[in-house]
Amino acid sequence: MMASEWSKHSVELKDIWSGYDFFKFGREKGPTATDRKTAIFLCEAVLSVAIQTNAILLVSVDSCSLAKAWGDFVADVTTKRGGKAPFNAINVGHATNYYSQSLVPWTIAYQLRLGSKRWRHNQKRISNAVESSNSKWRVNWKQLKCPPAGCSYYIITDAVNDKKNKVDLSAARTLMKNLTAAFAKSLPSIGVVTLRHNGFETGALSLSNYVRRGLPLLMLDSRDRPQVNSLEEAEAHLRDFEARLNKGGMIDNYKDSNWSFLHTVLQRIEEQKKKMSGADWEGKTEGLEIFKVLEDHVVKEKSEIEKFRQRISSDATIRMDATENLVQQAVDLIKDLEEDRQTNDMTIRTRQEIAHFNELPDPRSIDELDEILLAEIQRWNLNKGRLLQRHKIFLEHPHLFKAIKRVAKTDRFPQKNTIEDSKSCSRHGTRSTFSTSKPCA
Amino acid sequence: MTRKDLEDLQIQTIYSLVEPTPVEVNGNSMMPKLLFLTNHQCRQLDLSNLEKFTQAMDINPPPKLVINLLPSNARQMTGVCSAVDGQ
Repeated sequence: MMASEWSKHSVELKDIWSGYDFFKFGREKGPTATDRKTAIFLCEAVLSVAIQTNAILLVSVDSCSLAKAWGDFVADVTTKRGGKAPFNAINVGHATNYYSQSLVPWTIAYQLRLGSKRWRHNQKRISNAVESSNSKWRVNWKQLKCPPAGCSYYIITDAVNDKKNKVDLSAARTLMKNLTAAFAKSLPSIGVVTLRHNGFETGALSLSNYVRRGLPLLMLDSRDRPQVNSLEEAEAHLRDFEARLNKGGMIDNYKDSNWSFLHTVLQRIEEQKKKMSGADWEGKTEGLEIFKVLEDHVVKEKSEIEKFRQRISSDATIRMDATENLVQQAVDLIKDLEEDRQTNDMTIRTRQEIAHFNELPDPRSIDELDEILLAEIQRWNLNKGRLLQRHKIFLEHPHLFKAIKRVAKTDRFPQKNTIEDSKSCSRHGTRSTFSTSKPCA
Repeated sequence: MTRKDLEDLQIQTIYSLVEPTPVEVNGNSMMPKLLFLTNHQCRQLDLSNLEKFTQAMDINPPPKLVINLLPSNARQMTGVCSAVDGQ
């Protein structure tokens, strides 16, 4: 298959893993039932509250399912109401992250850049910083980050550190935190999260920090769950669910849905205890107790995630009374499931992806390799080769991914697709990253 | 006047930085407002006076609630779906 054909293929696959289009309900490529119910929740619960309260919504990039679905609703509502909705959505983003999409005609990023004199004026600085931070190879750049549609306001920072000529996202992140805090000071606020919010540790860390700032958080679980009254039953359900997904070649990635499920189970257990021990009994797992337990383990700085991981794996550091122990069991359960999930992920993905890799075309030029890598990054979110590094089996695969490793990790790539440049790179210790040999089976 | 001085001056009057930007979504035209900031300006942005900020951004009608939709991703990273219909 030629590289150009793969590029076309990747556009179709993009729909699978980025935020989804609400209006594709019922179609083959539309959202699955679990995702669809989060969109229905937004439409039936959040939208009406937003209209009644003239709410301000803070939304993420459109790879977030909530932001994407919300953007679709708002565009629809705004049109029906003559161009102005009774609520406002604000997106805070980074121009460096949006850079690739700002070059794709008629994306939101493209239209905003086109319409903004200040963005256009700064585009060269942004481009330089992206290249300086990520190398000139597009495989290393953020590919699909885009502001969601339907926002009334976009606050976009250039995210450039001029002194170092590097990408620096810290300013916008701080602004987003400050904006959330500033609004929360003067107005009632609520956070909503579901499906999967970052990775296991980083997701828990982020949510824990959010709650620790005193901000209310609604965790949604949009899956159909059985009535479960104990942690043992919850574990059995989650393991059974994982196994069913595994059979279908899938893994359970929706960690926050599972946090929400366990939180509900814990509350149910507390309610049962309360009934059994009389009205004076005061449960300790009301509210977001599960996050209080996480907070015991979570360190403040993200740079200390490794310490966090060690801490939650060390039972010796845990000091709790009987009720807190119950919560700790729930946290331990999620930890155990996560370990199993990673193993399943490895097994399932390896089988499927190896089969896929064997079908990849053998690049005959640097340009073709670049096209293939771009197609793969869209399909696979291959950000800086991190995924490959984690799954070393792919690196040992004798075909394309040895090349990706070299490309993603080094800039020592031929400047031009010529024998001279290729030889020049070889002299500096880098093999030509494209070969004419057939891939090994 | 250096670029930094100019940026400082601009951020003091953020009204001047807000740009109405035409955007077309699904064939519908919208006119969102874009506040494009350099990192330096972003750090200088004073949110202690939220009223001034909302006025500058021309946020109306006055909100009574803030809803923060935190990043919630569907089937990312894997190329393998995480859920199936009915689950």
